[in-house]
Amino acid sequence: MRRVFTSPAFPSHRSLFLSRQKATTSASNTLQQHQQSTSSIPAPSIHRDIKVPSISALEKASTQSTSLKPYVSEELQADDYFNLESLVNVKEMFDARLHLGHKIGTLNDNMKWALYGERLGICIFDLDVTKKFIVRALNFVAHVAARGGIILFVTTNRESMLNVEKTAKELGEYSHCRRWQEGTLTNSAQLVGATIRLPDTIIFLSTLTSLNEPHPAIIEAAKLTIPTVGVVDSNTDPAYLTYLIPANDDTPQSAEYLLRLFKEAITRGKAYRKKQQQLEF
Amino acid sequence: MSTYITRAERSGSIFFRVTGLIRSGQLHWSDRPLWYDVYVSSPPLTPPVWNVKMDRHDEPLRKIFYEEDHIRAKFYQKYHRTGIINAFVPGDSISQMFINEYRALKKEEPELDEESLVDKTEKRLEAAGLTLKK
Repeated sequence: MRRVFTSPAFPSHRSLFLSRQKATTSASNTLQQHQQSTSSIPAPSIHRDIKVPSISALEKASTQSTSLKPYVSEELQADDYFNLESLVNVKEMFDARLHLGHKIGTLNDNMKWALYGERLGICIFDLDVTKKFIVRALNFVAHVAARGGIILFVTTNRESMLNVEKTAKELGEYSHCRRWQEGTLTNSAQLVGATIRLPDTIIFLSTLTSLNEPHPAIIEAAKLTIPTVGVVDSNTDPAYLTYLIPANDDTPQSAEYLLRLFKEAITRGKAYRKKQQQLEF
Repeated sequence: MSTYITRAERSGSIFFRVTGLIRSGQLHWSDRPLWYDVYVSSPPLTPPVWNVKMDRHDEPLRKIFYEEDHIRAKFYQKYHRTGIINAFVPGDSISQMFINEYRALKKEEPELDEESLVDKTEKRLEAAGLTLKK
């Protein structure tokens, strides 16, 4: 769904999406670019519909989403179109301390599926499982970027906050690392003063607040059907999150590693989009 | 979008709710969200709903132990006064030296039981110049 972009919204609410701090000029340029692609200039081929599914096909899809695969575009038919699996390897994940969970006493029962076991009171993640989930999440994010989606990075971890903001800025995407004002997504029109386009994917690099409660943005994204990618630690509740990454979310090293992967995936998606647009004209 | 979609987030996953809108004709197929096709081609590996019960949620978590943990436990049960371990000094700790010797001995004489293996390891270390205090 194409939500209307109104550029004045961004400068007046600059604290919300920190990364495009170049404010008016750069923001409105990119916004115009988006508007053009949806109106006057023909949309790139990835937005063109091949065929429309019937009611019975949709009924089937309600329980099994992959049954709609014949109705989606070409580049989505491949399993790993951006070749993202080669980016992830267990040795690097281990070095980035992704396997370290919390103490056993804080374990959330819904996270046992991702754990290899407990070593002297500390939960240890099974990195083979984590790898599978990382690749899936990266694939999703890359394809969303290839379709011109807006990606919002969210974290509450103060140690990795600057890195998250920096990465988002470098990518030309958005980040939110400060206190989450209630209704930032659900009541954005009131808070901002105009209708704005909401992010198409939210990446949570930590899903708990400092009070060990689920981040309020998770529910808001679920309400507005915004897909979420979440790094879930052993003490986290994975409810509502769309794409999970079972891994350590507390050390700067692990955040840095995951950010590097996301950055590469989004860069590949955007490069693909650019290439497609050049082919169109 | 939020004007059409139900905000009751527990009524179904994001995909279920959007598909429901398309099915009922409230949302045209060409107006589907940007992420919808991507979700179709690579859906999440776990159901993204609020009351999800993941695999093994009611099973106890297994403990990770190595074979050497067992030997080390035996070592510290028998020899209490092993001194302070200085992590900045390169080389093996006393318990690690014991484990290495124990393993080498077990390879040489696999028929020995645990008790005699420990005693024999102690003697071999003593011969090499390392006296263990009980």
